[in-house]
Amino acid sequence: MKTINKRSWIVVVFSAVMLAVLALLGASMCINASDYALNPVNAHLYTRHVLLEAGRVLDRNGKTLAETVDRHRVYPSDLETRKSTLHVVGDPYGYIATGVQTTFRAELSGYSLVRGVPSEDEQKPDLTLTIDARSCVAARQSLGYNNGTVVVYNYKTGELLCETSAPYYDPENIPGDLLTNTDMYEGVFMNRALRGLYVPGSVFKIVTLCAALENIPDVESRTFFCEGERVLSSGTVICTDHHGEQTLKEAFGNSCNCVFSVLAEEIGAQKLVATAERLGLLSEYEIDRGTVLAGSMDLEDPTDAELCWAGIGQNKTMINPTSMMILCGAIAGGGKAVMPYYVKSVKNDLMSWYSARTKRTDELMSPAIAEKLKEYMYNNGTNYYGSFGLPELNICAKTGTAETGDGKQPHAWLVGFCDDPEHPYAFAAVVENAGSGRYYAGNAVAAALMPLL
Amino acid sequence: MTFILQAVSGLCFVAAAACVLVSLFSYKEKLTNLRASLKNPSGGKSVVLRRREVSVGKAKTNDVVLNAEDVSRDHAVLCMRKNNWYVCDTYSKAGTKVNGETINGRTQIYDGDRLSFGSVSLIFDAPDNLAPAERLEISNDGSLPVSKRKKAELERSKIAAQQRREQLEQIKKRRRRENRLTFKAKHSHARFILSGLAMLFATVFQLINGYTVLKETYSPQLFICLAGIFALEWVYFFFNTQVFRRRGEIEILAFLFTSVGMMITGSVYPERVVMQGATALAGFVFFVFFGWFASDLQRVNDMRIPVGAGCLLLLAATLVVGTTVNGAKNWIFLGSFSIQPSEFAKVAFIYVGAATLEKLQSARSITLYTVFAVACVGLLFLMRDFGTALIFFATYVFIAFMRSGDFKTIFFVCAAAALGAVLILYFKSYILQRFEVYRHVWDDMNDAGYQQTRTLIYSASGGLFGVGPGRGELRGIFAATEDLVFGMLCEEFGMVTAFTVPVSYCVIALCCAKKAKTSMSAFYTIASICASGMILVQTALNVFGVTDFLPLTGVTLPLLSRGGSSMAATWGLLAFIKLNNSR
Repeated sequence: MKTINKRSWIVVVFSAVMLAVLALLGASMCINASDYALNPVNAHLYTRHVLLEAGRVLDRNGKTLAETVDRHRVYPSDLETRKSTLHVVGDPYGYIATGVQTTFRAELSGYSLVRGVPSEDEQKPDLTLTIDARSCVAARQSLGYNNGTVVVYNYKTGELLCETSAPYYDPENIPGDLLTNTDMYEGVFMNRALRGLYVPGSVFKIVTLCAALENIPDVESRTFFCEGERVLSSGTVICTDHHGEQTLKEAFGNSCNCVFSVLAEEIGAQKLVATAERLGLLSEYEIDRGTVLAGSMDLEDPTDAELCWAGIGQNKTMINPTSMMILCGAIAGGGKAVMPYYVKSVKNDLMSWYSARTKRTDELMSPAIAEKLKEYMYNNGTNYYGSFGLPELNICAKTGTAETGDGKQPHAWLVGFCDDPEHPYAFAAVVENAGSGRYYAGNAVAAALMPLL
Repeated sequence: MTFILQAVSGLCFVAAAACVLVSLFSYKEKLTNLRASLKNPSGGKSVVLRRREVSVGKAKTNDVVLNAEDVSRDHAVLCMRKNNWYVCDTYSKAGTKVNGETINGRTQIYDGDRLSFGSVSLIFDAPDNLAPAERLEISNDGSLPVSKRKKAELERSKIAAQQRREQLEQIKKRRRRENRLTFKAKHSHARFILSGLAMLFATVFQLINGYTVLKETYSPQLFICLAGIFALEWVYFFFNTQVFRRRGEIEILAFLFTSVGMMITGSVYPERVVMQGATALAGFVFFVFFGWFASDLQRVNDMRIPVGAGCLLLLAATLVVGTTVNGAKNWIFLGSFSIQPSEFAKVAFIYVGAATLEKLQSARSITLYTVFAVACVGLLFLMRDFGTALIFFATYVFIAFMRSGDFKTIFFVCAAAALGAVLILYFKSYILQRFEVYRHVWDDMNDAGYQQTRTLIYSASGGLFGVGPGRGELRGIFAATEDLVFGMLCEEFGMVTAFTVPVSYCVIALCCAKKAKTSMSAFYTIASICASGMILVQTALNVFGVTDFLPLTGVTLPLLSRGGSSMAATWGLLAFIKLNNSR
């Protein structure tokens, strides 16, 4: 009898194992709950794969950018706003992977692990963006027929004020050939601000300048001579002009390719890449669940020409506009940048699902170098770019005109910031295949800034 | 508002289950004094008999270990049936003698009898088991002449017999009184408070969810069934605690789970809920009946062979006259009435498998039972009811281990089964398809992974406390109330409630193992352990299958899934579990 009674341990082992697996199942279900619940086949929230049971998306001034009315997801009545905010707001089908209607769909639907899906009559939470729709419209209009992107953010608070990307389409009247017309809509679902990678051209000289200031002693007291081109053993660096004798500051203002190619050679490939890496251009950033793509530099065993071209932002270097903007934010902020965000809050009258928190980057550069770069960029803004017609903003900037090597016009770049405590804005703009950075990208940034003043 | 109601009801569900389980687990059973012992005639230690079944032999595993050359390893079993003691020789070499006579089969023994196991003799000492008057031996008085002697002997024996009858009557009376007293002593107020609290919490849960489900999907049938089970559980609770002064914990949980299952079935299939309610009632009646039936182990033993034969006949009959539903031929339709015989076979399977100690020892190998098990599993295979076959096999492993404790045999059996499974998968490739999607349900979410992904999606939709019964979306999906019922529980009642169900079954199994220490009979131990094991296996296959932790096998969740036969059978299994808890 006692022997048989003792054998009951078998069921103890079985139930112990089962309890452990149940715990695992519970944990797995809790961790994945919002992914499961927000699956487009969930009839509680979706109707024909459209997330209808969702709250409004508002811009910083309370303008409605998306809402559900009479079982339809509707967008603002004016076409320009719909197009210009498309990539931030996103679409109901999840084509635009970085749009808040996709990345914040769980919060927008009012879902929470504790409460489950909200009942139909319950008020859904509103998602408030930090974006200013007017600024987005102005910036996008200034792009004209070109593709490209404009981003502006407040480098003190981190609020993104303008983020627009072209090409685009009208989410209210989705074109029938959206998926087939590749000429017109190639990469239309990509938010170029976050996911775009471009040849940086001369805006990369900020990186070369930073590396030079850090690594070459007395570089500021030297003078350099530009003959219009430098012939190297493996290629030639051609300058935009015959700049003659210049100081470093003048060479930065002139965006002199000859001088910066010399600097690149003196710095060396390893240190140049290390600087770009430290300045955050070669790694990913996470902004409100959208990943900013990491840039890339290919400088393994470079020839002297390749190294020189890399120093002036050509060669095979690819950089993302938003990470350039963050770099400018760091220069403005004395070495550390405030990370940008565009979702301010998701809440209704009863509870809050999400609210933004300000985060900072690591120290990208020392405060002294930041101060120096600011001085050089300010010099550019005032003495070389005519302050883009906005002298009261103390614009510190660097333009770029990046050759793409495919026979088309170069990409126009402008990155920089306003050294103005009332308007602490950092920005980056790329106008694809437009030409002069100072003209086309400058116009786009100026247009984006105007509504914010 | 909805959320608060759901949260309150969910927490009540957990609280009710917790009260029951704490009460079950915390109770320490004391062994009743059977007033019986084996004494060494030449003095020395005596062995007190504490259980209704006591094994005697040379092996260390016996309850009474005798060290002598001619004592067999497992020599004999002493057993108490209805207050009477018996001795059974279990095929020992040297044989067992009572008062010098070699016994053959089961023999009743009385106070003062001399039991000889081989060369070892012991005196059976049980003051409550006096020999009946007929067996009184009158001492031979040699001083009187023969004629007178006879008369005097007769006189004395009459007096002695009268005395003995009075003595026996007194013992009977005393026993009854003691039984009543021990009941009162055993069942302190604290334990009744826990049971009462459990009932209270269960009631709050049932009222809130009953209201919601009737508001959402009203049907008179559902109303009647819910009201019926509500009344039944309170009446039963009242009689059980107030009149019989018994604890009734596991029943509270069973009623609670049954009522949830009823809400789920009734809100989806109002026309079928009455049958569900009726079978639940039948199951409950069986539960009460079996509690009484199993108190007499002799009766239990006598019925094993008829029940086993009936079980095989029922399964065979299904194969002949059964109807195929969803690929498995496991239904018998009798007019508008349909039963699933394999569910009832589950109860029979355990009943036949469990056995009292003397039966176990006299048929030491489990060959006969293995033949029975193979027949059952084979018939289920022919019906293509593979899920149930798997449950039977797992239960067979439990029973085989409990009976023999032999790892080698069990390992061999499992290996053979694994080989068989591989062969089946090889020849029946459609079963293999189920395994292909295993752990990849999201890759094929609109075809082979349809049920699992929908279960996960809607389970998450319910959150911790559910959207409320009748308000779910999973209910529209095939087999929602049967195979996917765990998903419906999560969605409509919340994950907290849903997880309480399998956790409760686990804790019940643990309680069974704990109570086994004080079990009075091998039958009770084996039946309760294996019944709880069977419920666990079934729960695991259901819960983990539908959440893609195991391949989907399509078995029901005990008490929660729709299905009258399954409902009645689970109550039957609970009757086995209860055996261990009530005596």
